[in-house]
Amino acid sequence: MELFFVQKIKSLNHREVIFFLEVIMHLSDGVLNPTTVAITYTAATACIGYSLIGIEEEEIPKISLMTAAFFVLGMLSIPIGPSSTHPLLIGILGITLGRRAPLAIFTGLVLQALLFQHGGLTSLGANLLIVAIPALLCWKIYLYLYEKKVRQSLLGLLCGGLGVFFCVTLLIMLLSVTHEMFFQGEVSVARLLILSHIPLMVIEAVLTGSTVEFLARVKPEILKG
Amino acid sequence: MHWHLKPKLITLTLILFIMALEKHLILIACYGLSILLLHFIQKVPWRKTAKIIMTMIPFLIFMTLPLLVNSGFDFKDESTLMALSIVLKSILSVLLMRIATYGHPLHEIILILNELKLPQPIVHIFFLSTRYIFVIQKIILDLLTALKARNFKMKLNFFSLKVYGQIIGGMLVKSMEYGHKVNQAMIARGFNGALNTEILEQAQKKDFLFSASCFLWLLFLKGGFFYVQH
Repeated sequence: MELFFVQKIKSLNHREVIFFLEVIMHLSDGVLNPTTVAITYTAATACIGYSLIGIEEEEIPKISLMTAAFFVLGMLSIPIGPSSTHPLLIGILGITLGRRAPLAIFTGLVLQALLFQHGGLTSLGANLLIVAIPALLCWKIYLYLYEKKVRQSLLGLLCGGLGVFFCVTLLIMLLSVTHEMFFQGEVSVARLLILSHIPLMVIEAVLTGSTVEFLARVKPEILKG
Repeated sequence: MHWHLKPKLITLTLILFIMALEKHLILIACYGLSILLLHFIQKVPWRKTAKIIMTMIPFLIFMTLPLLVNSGFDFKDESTLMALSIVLKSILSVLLMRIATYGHPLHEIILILNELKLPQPIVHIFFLSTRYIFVIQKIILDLLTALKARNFKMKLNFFSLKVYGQIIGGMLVKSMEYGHKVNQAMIARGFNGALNTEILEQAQKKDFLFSASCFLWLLFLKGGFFYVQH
């Protein structure tokens, strides 16, 4: 979780690239305690293991391209008042990549750490779980409701909104096991976290709704992971 | 000073873990001074490091201001110490990552990940993704230019978000089709799941010695701190 992260990176692999990253759900190093770090790393390893089961060679270019696409698309800027935000695309990530979504998220997180020194290494497991579990849940919800013949745009809307909701819930759960201080006082970190992500939830829902509707019309085989 | 990437990456990652999981603020500050010295020895440009740290300020304010407000900015309060610890650790983590990656192209770092026995599919995804990012970024920039030429301005309303949603959908379709073509091309050129990578030069004795001296220094700091404390 990182608010208003604006970074200009020049000379990325001998090319001039300017990336702007803002409002990204990342915990930096130093926030989590040793127990939480150990538990999240174990759970994240299990998550990656689950994602790797039955992976075939021909899937790798597809996963890599989708990873790159999500990495770049996550940098599209959407203005909110004087500031701006970036889509998290958790719902659509789960819907399109299915059980391979954690692989894409892991790659994205490590690349962000290597290219922008952004995120953290001790919190890598936690950051992976914060995004990967909602993506997998969105995939399962999509599959379940798809069979119930719910409208595609509505499905996208639901998965988009729920993706952010699950993300914030997991983040708050992690902070709660880390230290009670994050919940104390009138202006607590947890309260600020919830308030700041409500607009993002609405944006993400509308964005994912229209993306899923478009994909269902143009290339439905992309959906369902 | 040249320090081979493999021992450097392993050493600095371990130091990062030791530093990030440390509870005593004074000891973290001592680690911080040592890391600053290492940043200087490795000749990492300060300006860029400072820029990266500047971008973290809003996050740090978000995480620590509620703690500081609740403690009434009392520097003996546990909340204030926690806030200080988060600020220090976040900044030092950036410094360590800067030292670890400075002067090494991305593909070299991924080669090291390969040598560290990361599962092969993950290494392949890393390799291919880093290449595709530039391809997709170019397509997106062209698309945004086309939208700009048609007087489209991104606003926070339903119509704009719908257009963005369709752009994302279009990009995913393009990526999927491109991925299929790339896969066909790779199979046609004999791709059997194994990517042949260049062999990096081996680390020398002096690289391991430098790594060992870093750990010894950390041990000395920790031992010294506990000696003074008790």
